[in-house]
Amino acid sequence: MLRLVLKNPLQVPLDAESLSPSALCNRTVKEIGEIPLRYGRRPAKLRDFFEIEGEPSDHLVMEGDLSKIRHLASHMDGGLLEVYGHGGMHLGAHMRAGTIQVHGCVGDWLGAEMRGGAIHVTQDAGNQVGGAYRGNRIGMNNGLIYVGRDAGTEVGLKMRRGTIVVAGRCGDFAGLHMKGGTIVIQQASSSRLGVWMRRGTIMCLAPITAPPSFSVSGPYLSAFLHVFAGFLRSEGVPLASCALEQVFVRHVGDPSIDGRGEILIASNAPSEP
Amino acid sequence: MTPEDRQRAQKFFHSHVHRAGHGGFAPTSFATGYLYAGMGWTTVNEAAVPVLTARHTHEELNDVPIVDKSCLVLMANNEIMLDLLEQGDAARAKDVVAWYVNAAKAFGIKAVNPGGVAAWKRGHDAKQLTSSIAGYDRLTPGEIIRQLARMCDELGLPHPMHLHCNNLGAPGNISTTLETLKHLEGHRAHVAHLQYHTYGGHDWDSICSQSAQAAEYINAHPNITTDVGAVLFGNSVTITADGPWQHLLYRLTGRKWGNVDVENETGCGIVPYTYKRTNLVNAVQWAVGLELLLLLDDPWRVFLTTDHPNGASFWRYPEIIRLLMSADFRKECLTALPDRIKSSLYLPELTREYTLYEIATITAAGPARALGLMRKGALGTGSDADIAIYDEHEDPSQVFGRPRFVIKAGEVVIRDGEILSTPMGREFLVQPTFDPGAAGSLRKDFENCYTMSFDNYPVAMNCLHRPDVIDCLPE
Repeated sequence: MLRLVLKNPLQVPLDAESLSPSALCNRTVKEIGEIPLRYGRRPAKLRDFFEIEGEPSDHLVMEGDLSKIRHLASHMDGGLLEVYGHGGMHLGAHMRAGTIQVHGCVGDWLGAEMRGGAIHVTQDAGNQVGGAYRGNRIGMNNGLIYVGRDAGTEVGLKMRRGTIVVAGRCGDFAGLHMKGGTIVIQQASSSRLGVWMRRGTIMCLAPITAPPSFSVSGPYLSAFLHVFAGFLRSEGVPLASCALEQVFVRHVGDPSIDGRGEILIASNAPSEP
Repeated sequence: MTPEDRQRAQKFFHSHVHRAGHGGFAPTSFATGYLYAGMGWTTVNEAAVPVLTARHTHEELNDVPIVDKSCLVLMANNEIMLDLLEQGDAARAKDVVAWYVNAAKAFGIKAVNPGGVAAWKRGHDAKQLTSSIAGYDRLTPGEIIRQLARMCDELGLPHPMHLHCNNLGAPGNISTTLETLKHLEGHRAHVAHLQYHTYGGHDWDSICSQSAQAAEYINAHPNITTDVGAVLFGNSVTITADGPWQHLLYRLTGRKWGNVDVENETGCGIVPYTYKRTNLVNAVQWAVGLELLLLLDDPWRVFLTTDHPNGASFWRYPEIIRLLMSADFRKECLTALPDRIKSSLYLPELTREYTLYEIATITAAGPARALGLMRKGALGTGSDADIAIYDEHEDPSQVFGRPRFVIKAGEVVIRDGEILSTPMGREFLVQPTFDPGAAGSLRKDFENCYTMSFDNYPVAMNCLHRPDVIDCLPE
């Protein structure tokens, strides 16, 4: 296991695109210390900011308030990254494989355009979780993101595959332009859910109003949810047990772009035959 | 328009020498200077500027370091000028054009889809050179072309009319192009991005190369210079004043799209585009660009361009140089194209290989002569000391992608790929003479037509860093 402990609080953003378990595991401690980073607009080296402990391996532990570190573990393609403290923007963006566990909050663009792997965040996440960068057509294309508390706006922006689970609330426009995949929101959220979604599923485990363009297609009871909950548990994602006892109302849309996505909203109404 | 490109583009970080920016298919203004100079290019020409936005163009050119610059203004769809031509008042039209060139602080005149953009504002295009333009009774695109070429000659502009022909990009447009060239007989003219104008066939499925026809005509007519506008496979963004073409391209691609109506002067459109090897049309475009460079005999009259950023970004020129200097490499690239198009191309039969001297001509000496910049493109007494020194390498794209030294105005600005200094270059302009009475009548037209007042319209000379006026030599 390799530990990187932040020496001093960061004053300006530190760009750490080159830092990920898979990028460090084949280097010596000395080489790791020499890795070039950019601190604001100035070039710097990793050893200027971190105490390096342990042996290089694909298990990387980082400690400290990393909320000013940008692009940490972007393009990661294997291994395990544990962050004890807050993470910054673009954490795990473009990642392909491996696991990131953040014991704290993270900034915007968590797992943006990721292609695989898993990200677990114990606290809040910023905007555009699993989203597509501006101008790109496809966001998250596989993998799993779990946010332990609330997430910001545009969760799953243009996502095509994969799963996002938000244990708390989401900001506006969750599932905006969604093309596929699944978003699970466990608490009541803000408005404009799933607008312009083409395909995919958004499940709300608490009551919410679907956008007016969506049409109701009736109550929804499916064995799928049991299977899905089993998958999430196997991935270490807790799903509230009451979720399985709910009746969902299925809304289809968004018809304004001829979409055939679905929003499943939990209802306390008794189930119908 | 293309923020996604910024993530994958070459990045320039701030340093004590240069500013931050990025490359990609539409580089930032500062990076544009670094990238051109990084290949050894020291003079560039912005080929299409609406007069209405010329002030902004000069502001951007002021932010392009190292290289010397110039710009051409769009005239072929200016409705004040078109109205005068419709009325048969060619002399006053020439005065108006000269006034516009002075007002824009420009170096010459660009004609884009003459009459077509004006017609597009009425829901039409202008594909036939001899048919009247929508909104006009008598005026035809052919007449606009002939008159503008005449004006450039009579005003003595160092660079002739820079023409983007009608009917760009369409299958079978070779007939329009040849007809256009015939309209230019007796006048100098530069035909821009010829590759987009030399297609045969009836539709997108039957599109084929007609580069040999165009090359045969131009080889025999020394009044014409041309640049090829070569295409390279990959992502690009198409930007042109040809509004109707961009609207059509948007309908073909279904991708992002922007069109602008620049008041009564011209239009504009932007559509990101991806050239694919497997696409029949794109494969023909790639081949036609190279065919023209290989079939046109005189390297002093055909120039290496990609119609940046339409065919590819300018920083990909070294890739084209490699294709020109190595027939074997071309053959290797041809194998990746769809089999069914190979019979409709001339490229497989062409074995010509460019020499280093010819490359220097089509990239530097020829364009300098065509632009009328007598101090550029030559090594000799009185020339500007703009010199690129290259190391030998078996791969020409390595040679031209990374010069050993780049010297600008006698100062070493780049050594082994490292930018040492970023001096500001000059900006060339011309000041053709005109009848002062023309300004008086224009003032009235401005009150009727423009959103900008007449007095605020001309660009002041102090908006240009280091202006350098090149003399006009009227006939």
